[in-house]
Amino acid sequence: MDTVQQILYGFGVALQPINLLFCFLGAVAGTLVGVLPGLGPTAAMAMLLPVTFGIPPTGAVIMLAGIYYGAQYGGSTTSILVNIPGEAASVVTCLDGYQMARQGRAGPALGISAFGSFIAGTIGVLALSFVAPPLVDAALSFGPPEYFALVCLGLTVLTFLAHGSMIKALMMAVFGLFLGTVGIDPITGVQRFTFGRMDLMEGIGMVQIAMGMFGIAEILSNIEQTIKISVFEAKLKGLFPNLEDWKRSIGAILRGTGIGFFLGILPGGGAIISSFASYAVEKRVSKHPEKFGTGVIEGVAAPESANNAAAQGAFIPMITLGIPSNVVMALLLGALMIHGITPGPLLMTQHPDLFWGFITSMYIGNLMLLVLNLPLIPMWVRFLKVPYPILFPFILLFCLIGVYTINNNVFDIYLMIFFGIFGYLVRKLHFEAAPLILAVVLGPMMEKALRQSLTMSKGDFSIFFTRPISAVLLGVAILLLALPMIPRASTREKIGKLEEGK
Amino acid sequence: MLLLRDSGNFSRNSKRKELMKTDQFNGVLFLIISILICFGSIRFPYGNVHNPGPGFLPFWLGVVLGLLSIVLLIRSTLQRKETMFFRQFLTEKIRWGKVLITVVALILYGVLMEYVGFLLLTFLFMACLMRFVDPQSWKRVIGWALVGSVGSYLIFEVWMKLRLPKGFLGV
Repeated sequence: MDTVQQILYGFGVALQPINLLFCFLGAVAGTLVGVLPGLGPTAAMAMLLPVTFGIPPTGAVIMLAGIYYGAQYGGSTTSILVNIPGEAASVVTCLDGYQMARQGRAGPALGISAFGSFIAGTIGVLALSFVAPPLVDAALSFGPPEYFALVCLGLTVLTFLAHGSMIKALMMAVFGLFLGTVGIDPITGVQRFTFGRMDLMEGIGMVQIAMGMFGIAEILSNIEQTIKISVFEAKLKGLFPNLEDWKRSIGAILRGTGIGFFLGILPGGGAIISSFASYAVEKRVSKHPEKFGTGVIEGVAAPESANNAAAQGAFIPMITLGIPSNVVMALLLGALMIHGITPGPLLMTQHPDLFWGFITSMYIGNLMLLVLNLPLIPMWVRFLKVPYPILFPFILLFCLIGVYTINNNVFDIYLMIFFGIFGYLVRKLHFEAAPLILAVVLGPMMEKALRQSLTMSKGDFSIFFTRPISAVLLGVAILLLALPMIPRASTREKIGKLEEGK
Repeated sequence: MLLLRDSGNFSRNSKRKELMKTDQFNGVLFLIISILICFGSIRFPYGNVHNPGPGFLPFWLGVVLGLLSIVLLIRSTLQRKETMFFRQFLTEKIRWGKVLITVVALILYGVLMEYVGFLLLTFLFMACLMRFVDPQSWKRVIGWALVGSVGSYLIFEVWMKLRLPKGFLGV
């Protein structure tokens, strides 16, 4: 089969020593940020983005992807040992993972989450490599109206799934779209909202905003209160789950993989939602749902598998359509664009080495993580003991260096600080940052598609509804926008309950 | 990425008269922003519906943002449920001072970077944050600040050749 041949070709690329090195660096860095609470994969990727400018695009993507799925592995360690989620997708793992640690079963809990992650990650990558090519074929027939509809749908789903008020999430998305219009208009050359500043002519970079709103803002809200981390002091022994553990978790792992992968594909979905959903499902199918929360191994296996599978699924819309489904994908997209590569349906044919090398590097990365994670857990625990007052200046420093080296321009530092303060304040006012960042990335794409479509149709808006694909996509988007207005029966409430694990 | 914290302090001082709910404040704030956006964008060519110009999208984004802000404002005004009041946002037990120190340190870093130079400024920056935000012992502060500044200098300047700014010391 053709796909098999291309996968083999991909391995040829991914197994080159230099790419193996990037894969390894990404996986290690990802595990580290996953372990450390107060530093998530988004901030880490934003920080390392400038570093990737100097390396070939394939290596850059391999490394950034490694950070993303590596963080899913690392996050579980902190959840289990400290009862603080190392990153957001591991929140549910705390419930049963920490209880297991208190019962002296930290070893099997860490073990099953590493194996579960590995199984889910591998199945996810396999599914990805077979789902992507047919999707690419379909996407090749997309014109500007379809892209416009797709961007609208992506933004709607993201706001639909946002925590808290949907109106506020929409406001963030609209404001993000506005920020995306700053700079020289690509079609007419008119300067918009630049206040005559040279620095703003090329627009406000996504990296500056992301580092501000995820890096700086995160740290500001962490130092506003005293944080004490107490690592669970217990001898770690027997990382390998026993036969009984396996029997109870294998179903959970497979179900978690399925749920995670499909929720991951959805724009706006991803690791966090899928870990909650899979936990809820496990509780429902379990013969002893009342024991959840007291340290059952399924409660660790399911969400940890789901968040890894979701991490793989989330790559699908990005590499096939060029539409990022979450902030991490948006950063990856940004990295590719800086290298002059536009992700989209043409990526597979124009840059097969990048496309397949990247996919297969994730098989290899998953294996590396399994080998890396289990024996190195004691070392990660030592990192957890570095006090936050020592740690946070380091994180700030990396943000500063990272943002400065994009253009060697101090103005970028000010932009980052501005968005850091902005991000911190809107967070305090219960807004979410994710829709804003995604909108900044998608905004220019959306405006271009909108204006091209209207030129195509000579100004007739019906073009969006007479073409079947864009009509369906926009229909779904409108449906999602209308749903919360139906009182009481709102799906959002159900999702909210799901997330609370009820 | 996420630290669990207690956020259940809603309507703590419900007996006192509250000026404003948080979402009322949010609504007003973003309404003002949206008006600014609209006024800003009418200066650019609008084009027409059939051939939108550079002012088209920003203007309508401003309008949509304004409408959303009004909906938020009305909804939070009508809402009877227990909600968060704006004054709590201001008086919440937050270590504003620490946040302020950090922000000032960041801004100063940007301002002084090209005069003081990377190595010295980084050392001072890290030492200040470690000493003044959550005070650590001087021994620890100097040790870690040295590790941070020299280490990052070696990695970024010497190894990766990123050309960080040199100040009056030449490093």
